[in-house]
Amino acid sequence: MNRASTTVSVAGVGTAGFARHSGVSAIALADIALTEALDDCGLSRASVDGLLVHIGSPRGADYDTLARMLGLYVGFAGQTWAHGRFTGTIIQHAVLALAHGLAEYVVCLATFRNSVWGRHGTTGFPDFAEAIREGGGPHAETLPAGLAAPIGGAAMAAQRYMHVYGVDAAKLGAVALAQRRAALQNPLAVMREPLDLATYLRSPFVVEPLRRLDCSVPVDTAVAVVLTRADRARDMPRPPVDVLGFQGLSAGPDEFVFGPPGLGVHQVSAVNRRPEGAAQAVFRTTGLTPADIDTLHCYDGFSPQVLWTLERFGFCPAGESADWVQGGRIEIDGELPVNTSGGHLSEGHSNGWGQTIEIVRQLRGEAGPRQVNDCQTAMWATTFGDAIIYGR
Amino acid sequence: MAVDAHTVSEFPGTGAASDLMPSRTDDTEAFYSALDNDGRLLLQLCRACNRHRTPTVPVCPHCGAREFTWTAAAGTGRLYSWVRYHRPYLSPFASLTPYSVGLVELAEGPRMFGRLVGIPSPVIGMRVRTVLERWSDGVVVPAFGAAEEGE
Repeated sequence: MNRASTTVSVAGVGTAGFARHSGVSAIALADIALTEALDDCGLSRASVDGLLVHIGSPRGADYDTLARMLGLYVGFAGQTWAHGRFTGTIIQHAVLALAHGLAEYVVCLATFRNSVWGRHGTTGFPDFAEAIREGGGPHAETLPAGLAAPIGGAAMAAQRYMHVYGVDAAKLGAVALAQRRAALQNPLAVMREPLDLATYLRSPFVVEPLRRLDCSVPVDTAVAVVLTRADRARDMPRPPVDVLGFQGLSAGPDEFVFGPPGLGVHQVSAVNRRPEGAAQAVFRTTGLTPADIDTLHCYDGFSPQVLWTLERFGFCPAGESADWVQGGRIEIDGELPVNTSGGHLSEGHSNGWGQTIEIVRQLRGEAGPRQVNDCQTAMWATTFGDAIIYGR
Repeated sequence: MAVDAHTVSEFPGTGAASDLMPSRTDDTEAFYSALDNDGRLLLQLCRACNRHRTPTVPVCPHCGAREFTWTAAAGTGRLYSWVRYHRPYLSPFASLTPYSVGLVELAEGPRMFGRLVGIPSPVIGMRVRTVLERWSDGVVVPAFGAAEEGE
């Protein structure tokens, strides 16, 4: 058992909510989320001595600016590259820092304002510059070939996957439908119109085979998560949510960020040499198995990522997820409720921070109409290979 | 024209390819200039493990060796995956939308992305061949068309 991962808890969470066009600056959004999170756990700003920031300027705000403007005097700070894949990384860094005494109260802060930017792929968009960095874009963007924006790589992986496993396009729709049904019970979600399969199938292709309803909804949001050692969290107002274990991001010649290992998209090996399912560190170190997880929350920039996460972490065999998710299996009252806040597809694209708050609410028993029955464990997992298991 | 050169046609869209590409480096210059000046598509061949690679990188990702030779790609391959853009994300392709982009597994092994030219209904596994396109700034970009009989 990983000692560090057993001694840290989430003590408080807060969010500015989710809006297509908030009209609020990234720093003001962060202030709303931070205030709510500190109120949630009864801390003052003076108590915060650690700050980890996900997504800096221009879409968000940098750690130093935030600390200065929000009046946080921290002796431990960090910030990741501006990409959605680092939610787990940030939480893990907070856990490690707390376990090693670098700080007593760490705030993980994600604030971003997408509404002021143009569309993905256009030259004014902050991500455009990434596509022309040395070595190419992070999602296989190859602009002279016409392969632009993260959706290009995701669609390329989806097409190959659907071909290899004979996945029917209608079956992919189960993901968007389940998450929309959950979002109908979430007042914070931006997409709250009921959705049926016929409507999904009428949804126009953006980059075929992905439709508009397979894509997450860009929003303005901020989320703050306060972590501290479990012994301190026991004396704080809210029921603590413990970090039971985790594993880090995967990378290498066998990994493409928007596809399962072994699919072979981009230059990636068509052989998966990674440990699969319950053989992975997150399960080995916690002694848990996929069957022990009461609710799964995963990165869903595009709906196939939900399918690939289910497969990668052994909730179902490789290539079978599209069948597996049929019949309400991933809905709130199903066998494995997934992204019960609506996720990026319906709550809004928060890079996984909305899911992190939802995990905390579920484990505290505060999810109201979305409450998963007898929720003891919740898991964050991604197609990028990282995972965190939380428990109460 | 060298024996291993490919036909170069005019890119039907607009704009400068150089605006959409990383800056050329000492590592990549040979690859780009072979396309622009000779209509040749080069691959790196590792001298240690004898595997081809693209995009151009200074170190073999398979074995770590730095020594390599440039070899001309036959330009044939099979379609590994593809997508169709129903919405233009980049202005140079706006007039071509909807357009398709393929991921092609070259005969030599590596995979390469390229716009699909004259393939209205792409099918994974179909044989394709390299067709080069010259943009208005003189930069030549690999694309792919359907292979002819016997290719």
